Amino acid sequence: MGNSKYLITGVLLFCVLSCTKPPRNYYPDQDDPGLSRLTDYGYNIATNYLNGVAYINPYNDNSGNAVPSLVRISGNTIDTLALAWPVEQNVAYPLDASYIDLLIPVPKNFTLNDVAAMNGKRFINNTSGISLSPRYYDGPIYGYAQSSGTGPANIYFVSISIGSEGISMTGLFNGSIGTDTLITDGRFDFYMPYNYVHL
Amino acid sequence: MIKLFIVAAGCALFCLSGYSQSYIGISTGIGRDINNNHEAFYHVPVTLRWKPGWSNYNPFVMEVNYDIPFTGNRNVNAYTLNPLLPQMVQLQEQVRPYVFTGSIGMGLREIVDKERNDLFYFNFLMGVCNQYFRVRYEHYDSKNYEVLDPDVNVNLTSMVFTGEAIYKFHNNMIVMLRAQTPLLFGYNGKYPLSYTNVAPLQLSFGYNFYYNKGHDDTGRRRRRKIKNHRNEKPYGE
Repeated sequence: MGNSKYLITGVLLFCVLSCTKPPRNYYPDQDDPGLSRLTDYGYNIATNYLNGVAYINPYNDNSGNAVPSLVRISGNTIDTLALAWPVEQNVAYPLDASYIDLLIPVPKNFTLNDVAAMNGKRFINNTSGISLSPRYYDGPIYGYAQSSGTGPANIYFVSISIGSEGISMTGLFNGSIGTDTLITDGRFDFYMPYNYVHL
Repeated sequence: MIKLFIVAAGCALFCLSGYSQSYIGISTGIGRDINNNHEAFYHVPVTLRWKPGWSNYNPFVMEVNYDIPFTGNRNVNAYTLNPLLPQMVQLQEQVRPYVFTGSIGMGLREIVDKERNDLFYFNFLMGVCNQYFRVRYEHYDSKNYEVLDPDVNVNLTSMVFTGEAIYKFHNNMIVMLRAQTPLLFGYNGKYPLSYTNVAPLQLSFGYNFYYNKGHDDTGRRRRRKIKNHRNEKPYGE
């Protein structure tokens, strides 16, 4: 009888824990419909307007919000730091999706300490770029981004903190790609475990 | 067991309550929130209280309380990408908590001095409280700037308990110390706010308009009767 009590408790506990979804952490901004508030709580939420339409990083019932990656891409003379995450329309059934890459030129000897030094820095569009690239969308309808390419961007790292297990980043961004794609009012609040960081 | 406790508590309240005097009271003063640790809110409370005169032993009290808020301020940072503007500005966040409470309860005890002029009431009430927090940012250019971790307007309604100690002087004037619990079921949103729901501690001055005085003047009339009787000259003098 005693063992069965523990068994039932264990099964119930497992059911409760397995039914708990990770939080979406999307808190709408009253001033910008469809966008999240600018926060620094490590919510892993990123929103922006793409030609006036609100976009957000996707959510999965099991893994939660899509986590971005921070990667240093090697170049000939200088490298490029790319902060990348997937986005989709901020609607119940998004039709298209793509990747946003924020691109910043960095020296070859760029390290984690240099990431921390970007805290509070604003990169104006002659020193940084943004790219929008199509991605395969694994949803009920397959879709692709409205356009793709690379263009100038403004990026502001409002706060960066380096932790023992990952990096927290909060910031603002906007940019344009060609004449037909305008990315505005972008904001992100990321927490990246170190397995998402490759410098 | 719980039912027994409730019945016993109810009986105790009725037993402890003394003669009641019907009145409508109004009071105002100053209130301080004791639930927000880092930044307390201040109010001007306006309380309207009615003690109906259904019977000599009626302990019931009804009350409405409205707290006119002073603005609670804190500094927040706002950021912009616009290269023509300063990248960070400091704004003043103003939070105004409007608190409205409707309660019903009972007078637990009365203490009367020899002259029956000074009187203490102890009221315990249970009610429903609405707290509306209005947030605004002074000189906020919302088109160009984004506030980091902004607060938002919140409207909360829940149960509260209130305790009041009332000192009566000059027959109708009162001084009241009033304490109210925080909302029993407060903000349950997951988004963190810089403030939490209000638990006002108030010191008020006011005036009671007595009516149906016969209910409470038994002692006074009895003393007056005795005094008059003593002053009466014996027959034959």
